Amino acid sequence: MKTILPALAILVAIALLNSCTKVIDINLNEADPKIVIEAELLSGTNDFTVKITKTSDFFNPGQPVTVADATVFLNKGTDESLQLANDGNGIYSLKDFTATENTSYFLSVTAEGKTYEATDFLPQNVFLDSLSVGVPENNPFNPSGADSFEIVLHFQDPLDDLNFYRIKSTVNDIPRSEGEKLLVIEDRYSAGAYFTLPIFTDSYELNDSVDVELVTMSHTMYDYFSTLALLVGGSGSAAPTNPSSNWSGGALGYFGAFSVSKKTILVR
Amino acid sequence: MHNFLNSLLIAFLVLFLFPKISAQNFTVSGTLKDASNGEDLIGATIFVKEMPGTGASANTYGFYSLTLPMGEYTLLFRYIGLEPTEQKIRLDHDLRLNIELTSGVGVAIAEVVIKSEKDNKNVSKTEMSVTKLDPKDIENIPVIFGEKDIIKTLQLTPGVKSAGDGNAGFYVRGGASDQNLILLDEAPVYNASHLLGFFSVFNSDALKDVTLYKGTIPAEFGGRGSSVLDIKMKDGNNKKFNASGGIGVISSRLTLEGPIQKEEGSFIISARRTYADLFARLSGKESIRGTTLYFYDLNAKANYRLSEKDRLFLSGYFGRDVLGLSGFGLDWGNYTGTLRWNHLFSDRLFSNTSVIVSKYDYQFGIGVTGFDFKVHAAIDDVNLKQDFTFFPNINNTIKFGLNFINHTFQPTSLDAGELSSFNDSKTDQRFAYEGGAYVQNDWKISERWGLQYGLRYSFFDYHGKGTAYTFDEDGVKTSEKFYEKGESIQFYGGLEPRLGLKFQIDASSSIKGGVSRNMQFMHLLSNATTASPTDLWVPSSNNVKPQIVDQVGVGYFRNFSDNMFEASIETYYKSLQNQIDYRNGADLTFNAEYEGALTYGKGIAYGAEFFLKKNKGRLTGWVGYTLSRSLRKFEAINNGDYYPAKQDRIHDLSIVAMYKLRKKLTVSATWVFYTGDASTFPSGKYQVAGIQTPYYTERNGYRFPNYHRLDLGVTLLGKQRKNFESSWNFSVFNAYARQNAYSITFRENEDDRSRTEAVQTTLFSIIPAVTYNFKFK
Repeated sequence: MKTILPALAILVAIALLNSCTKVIDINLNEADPKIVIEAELLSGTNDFTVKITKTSDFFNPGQPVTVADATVFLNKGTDESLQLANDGNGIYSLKDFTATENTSYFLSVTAEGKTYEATDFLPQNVFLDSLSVGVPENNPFNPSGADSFEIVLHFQDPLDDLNFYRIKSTVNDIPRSEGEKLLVIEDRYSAGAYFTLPIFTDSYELNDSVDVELVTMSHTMYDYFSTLALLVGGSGSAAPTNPSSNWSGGALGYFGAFSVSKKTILVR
Repeated sequence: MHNFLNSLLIAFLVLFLFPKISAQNFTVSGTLKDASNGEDLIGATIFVKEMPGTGASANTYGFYSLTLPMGEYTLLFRYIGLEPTEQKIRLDHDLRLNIELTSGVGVAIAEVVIKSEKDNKNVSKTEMSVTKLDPKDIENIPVIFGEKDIIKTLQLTPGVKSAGDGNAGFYVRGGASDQNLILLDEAPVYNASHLLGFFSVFNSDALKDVTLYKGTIPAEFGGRGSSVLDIKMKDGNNKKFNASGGIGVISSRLTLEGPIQKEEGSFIISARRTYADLFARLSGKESIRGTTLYFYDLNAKANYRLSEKDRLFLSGYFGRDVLGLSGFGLDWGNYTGTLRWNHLFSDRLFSNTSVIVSKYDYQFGIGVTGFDFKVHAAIDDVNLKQDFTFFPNINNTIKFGLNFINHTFQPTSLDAGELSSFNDSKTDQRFAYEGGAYVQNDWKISERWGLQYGLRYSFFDYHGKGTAYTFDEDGVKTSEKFYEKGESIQFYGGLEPRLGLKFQIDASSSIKGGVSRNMQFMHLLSNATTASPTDLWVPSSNNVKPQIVDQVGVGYFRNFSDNMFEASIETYYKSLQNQIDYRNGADLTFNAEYEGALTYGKGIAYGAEFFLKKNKGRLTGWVGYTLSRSLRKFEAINNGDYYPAKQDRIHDLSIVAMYKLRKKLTVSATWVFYTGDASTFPSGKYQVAGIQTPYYTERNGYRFPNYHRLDLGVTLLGKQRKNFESSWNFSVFNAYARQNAYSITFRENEDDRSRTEAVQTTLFSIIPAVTYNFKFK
């Protein structure tokens, strides 16, 4: 028996630990390029820009293809439509535009003979009280080493409505934009609670200067970003589909209106 | 509906009062048992030598009944693997004849005659598309980790497909894995997987008989669209006490059985536990040491003969998986219990009454401060069944009965910890009654023609107390209504005809056909790519319609070389209605309004199954090949065109060979090959929100690489002593270390972030295993 047990242990180790990964070649069909429109309208006075591109080959994308000859109009309710200037490289902009909270905005894009339309509601801002630095304990989402820290957001969630948030962080002026770090939450199970929310999808190092943005958004945008997070989060879905875009006419991308509250903290 | 119940009642009365057709007819009846351990011989056959082509078979409890004109007969009792027994009877009064068949070299009888007459059950029986496994026969087939597993073995037969490595689910003839009704001693088992699907919950040591119906399902079964897997536990040795067990690489088993009172009653207890977690504790890494990962299961059964006419059975299954990583825990399990009472109203009317309970639940919790919560979901059944078997004469066997189930569903519910930023989210329980009534006759029209016809009426009543929702075509809630306790929210009912026909061409070949309808009122919703313990069983409702599966099948059956080989070709076509899929971005957890996330469509499945089996000689085994398609059609997916279901495996080949090298040494090998799963891959990409995002154009438009694998096994029997026997079993899973795809994901190339690469994960490479089995008797 003494000799059997170690032998069994070795067998178990072989058996349980021998899963492996490798890079493989897959032939993917080349799809006809599709239009992608990305537009973010922030509350307050900012430059409003719209970026229009096309999808590219999956494995070898090359340079992004931009759409040059589009006309883009923004309006709010009954107001007169404002046309965005064509800045080239697929960028269209409206300088120093003031967006107000609790208002619906409507964006229309005509490109290559087709018109695409989207609306979004700019919600009331929810303000960050403070940020704090913590040492993560047993975080199963992020089993990182001992030298890493987590950043915790503190804010009061309003009770009246459903609220939807995206949390973005920028470390030493470099945005954390990897797909698995995309963090969106809703307050369906915590309406009116005082949030003490760690950024559990990411970790930070000593002396990092971290800008944290609490982005308040509409239900429509929450649907977009949560389906996007499913797609790019690396967890894999049995039936992946494109994120739920608010564009009509089959364009990819989104038109989102966001309120943002921002604070900075130094990890120490 | 009323008419139907009335006619059923009349049929019932007629059967009870059935007058003996002639005073000259008498009945011989009794039970058939294995002489070595007293186990009932399910499906053992009885032939009347004086009347070639006539006979009967024993039912699930080993009971048989034959009604014949007065006279002298020679009855021949047969069961695979046991010595046939002949008995001369003089039938001038009703006769009770209990027979025990021995395995030893017994009375020499005309072996040749019997063989040519009756090793051709597969050809001569009316039923088709049925796969039977004797747990004893699968001992030599190599399996992963050396754990004998009936579900893994069934997947080696045509028409039954594995849901992939690390997944205990299976697909039957293009149906989804939730379309299989898995019964353990009549109790439904809702999640048949252990260790996240590496093993099935069925401990082979405790099992006696495994039957899979994949075509025309007998009318006594209902509730699932594709198949019924009917598993019977052993009754336990009623002659003497014995203990058997095995020590394996990742688990050990122990079975105790013996008489309660000799010949009158017996018990069996069989337990199994894995111990991978014990080794994890030896690990140097703290994160691995804190891991718990094990399962156990316990099968227990007792039976007792109260009188010559009454017998009681009590059986239960308890199994649980526990998985814990630091700060995270998941555990799930099934409990089933069955109490049965066999009663003989007469020597031609056999009755069984069952009370069955079945429960499946899971919970998981996370203990991170600010995020601690527990999630819980369950399904709970109480089930009453009354079945009769009536033997009016030698050419007919009539079965009829009733069934009523009370279902309680607990959808995922969330308990937040005190310091959590979450609020509790309790989803209300949902309630439903399910029931059925059936009548079926197995009619031997002539020596050549056989007909099995039956009709089942099934209903489902989704009722309060609870809230019902309605949704528009985009899945947005339009209204909700509260229903009081017991108030019907939605009622479904329907007739399910089941028909099978056989024409026997000659002693060794036949053609069979079948037509059937099956309705399914419960559906499994999955949050993940592969089957997971957190998959959710939900009832049909005002939104979710019952799945309806219609099937036609035709087969040709032929045996060669004195039944040494059996061969068959079966073809089938199925139409599936009210299939379920998810809307984009569907969120099913903690969502009382999950029905809004569902979308409905239809499907078709068709195929041909080829099977060649060698039953005798030093080399035994089989080759099974299935050519098939399984397609789905949903308005919102792929522009409403048909697309391949995940389980659409065009080619599926299994070869199983066992060779008896020496008296105590058997070597075995299996090889499987199948077309890779249909899967959805991107056809382009773009950047949005600073993230490289894949662009999808069609559902399941691509394929995984083809799957193939060779497993090898060696079984070495130890010295057979009077009170002790033992054996060693060595196996190698995936002997040539084929890297089969478990998942394919895409990621940015580390050196060039603009490039994307496809990454394939393989779950199991080559895995050796050794098991030591013993038996004290």
